[in-house]
Amino acid sequence: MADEGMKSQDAQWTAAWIERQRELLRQQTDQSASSSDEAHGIATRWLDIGRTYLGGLQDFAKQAANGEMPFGSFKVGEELLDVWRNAWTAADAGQQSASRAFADMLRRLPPIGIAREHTEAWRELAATQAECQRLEQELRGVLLGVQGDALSLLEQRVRERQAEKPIEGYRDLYDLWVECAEQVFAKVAHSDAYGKLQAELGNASMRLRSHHQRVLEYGLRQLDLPTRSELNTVHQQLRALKQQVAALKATPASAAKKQTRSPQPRKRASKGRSR
Amino acid sequence: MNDPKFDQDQVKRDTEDFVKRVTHGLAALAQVGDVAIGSAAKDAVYAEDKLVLYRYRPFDDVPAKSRVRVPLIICYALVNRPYMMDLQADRSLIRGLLQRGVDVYLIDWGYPDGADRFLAVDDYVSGYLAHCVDFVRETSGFDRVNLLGVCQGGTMSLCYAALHGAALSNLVTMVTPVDFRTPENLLTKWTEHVDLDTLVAATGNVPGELLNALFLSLQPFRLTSQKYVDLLDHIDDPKALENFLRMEKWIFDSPDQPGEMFRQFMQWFVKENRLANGTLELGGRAVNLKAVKTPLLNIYAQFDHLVPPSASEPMGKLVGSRDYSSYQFPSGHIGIYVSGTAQREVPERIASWLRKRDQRR
Repeated sequence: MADEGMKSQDAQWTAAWIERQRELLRQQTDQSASSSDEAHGIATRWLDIGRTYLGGLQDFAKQAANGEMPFGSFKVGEELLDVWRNAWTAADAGQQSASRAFADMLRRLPPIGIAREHTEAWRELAATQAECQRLEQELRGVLLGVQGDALSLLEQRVRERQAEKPIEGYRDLYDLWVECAEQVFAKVAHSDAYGKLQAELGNASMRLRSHHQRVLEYGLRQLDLPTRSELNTVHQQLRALKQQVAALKATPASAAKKQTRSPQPRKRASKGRSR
Repeated sequence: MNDPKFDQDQVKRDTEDFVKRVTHGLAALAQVGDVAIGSAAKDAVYAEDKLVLYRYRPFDDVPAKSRVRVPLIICYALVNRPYMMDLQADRSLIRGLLQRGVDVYLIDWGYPDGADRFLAVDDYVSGYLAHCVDFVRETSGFDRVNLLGVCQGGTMSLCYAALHGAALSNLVTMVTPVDFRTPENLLTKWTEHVDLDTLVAATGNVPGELLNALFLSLQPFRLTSQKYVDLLDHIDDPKALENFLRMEKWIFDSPDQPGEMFRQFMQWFVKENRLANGTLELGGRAVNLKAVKTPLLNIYAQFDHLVPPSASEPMGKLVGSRDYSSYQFPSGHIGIYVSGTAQREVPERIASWLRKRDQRR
């Protein structure tokens, strides 16, 4: 009877531990949702700015239609109006679709004017950032799911062990939790869906990095500072030259022939128009 | 499991013990200082760009009849650093080989930087590796040398053997993947949808930290949490603590991967499985594994989660060698170099296999 009492006590504290982990997970899920709210808030603020812009364009289009503008049949505003309208409608449909529509809208918005190139670079950067956030959130959801399932499996294992080898302490419980979590994760990690989601997030992150580089390099060029692209060109040229040298070294006879032939064009060059 | 309640005494005992161990642990960690890496004496004998070829000083006390005359070059992977081969005196494959009379050379690829981002697979196989082999052939006086490839270095060694087999006497591969498309291979699955062109264009050289994060995410709970909790069990043992920190240094001392090399390796070897399919070309030459005729010993780890046995086992059927043997060691990817059993068994297996073929010359 005393043993059974002990077992029952073990079951109680392990259950409490599991419940506490569940609560922590719930809190994380809530945090994730609030960060989603935050993303939605940012998107909404952008859309507010867009609405102002939209108003300006409407005025502009009206003026053009009334022949008050020198451009007469200027139509670029119409497409912009549609894009903004669609995005606005989509944004109202829900927070997930808001950021997606926002990213989509930014992607489709045609840049114009003297700052066209800048606008395009920043627009692509912002759209990719939104995509990254969406994918990150999706992956976080999957990982939270793994942790939730791991707790359920842990609960089951604890029950199974009650009779033979009850959990003896936190450490014992922790080790069992790790085992369960790895087991659940391995199943998810081997699925095509997970591989695809992880790769999509990785690809989006790399695109974001490329867009950052593009914007940064533009600034560096303005200051006449070297860029990674320039260095890449130099390294590619160096590699090609090294290969040529290696090939020449490997065939001394052909190298010698080339060397005997080379003075001729040089001679011609020196007799050229330079003097 | 309704109405759960904590056993207060249990909680108290566990918490007190945990706090005590963490406190001891912090004090012990603060006293460890820098950990020394490597144990066997070596000399740099050849250098090219960032590569350095080392020759380990032979042990004098090995009888002449036990020596393996033909030198052995170890070709390590570009991922992580080659000092894993000689981590410390009692965890050293190289020391084990030296004790058994093997003349050991080791290729250290160095830390690639931006200037190396356009190096291709062939630059390594028919460039750097080939130059090291030629150097040892010239300086040792042997027409052919022995080559031991580790992990990705093993894959490169197979390519070298297929293209330049005449320079090799024997080939040993350790935890070497040859078929990258087996169901157990999680890394391959994860690579399936990765846009490698965009990755390499954005990162240039692929950061070592990125690969570390990838490796950790294969077993995230074990490798980012449990491993450190387990450390508390040995925190009072200075030697165990030092071993742990040395291993920790090796794990996270990860050179960046030259961009183009990484792109080609991942695309051709991992995604398209060209080496196993017989469709690989390097420098305009077909890499046909059937052309690997040298005697080959393939050693792989039974519980390897990075290179599962299924990725390595098909080697026997793919190569043209008539003298092929394999050896499955009961460990993981790293345990094959550092476990106590490995110290006794692995160098002995390699040295005796080489010695047998050395005597046939």
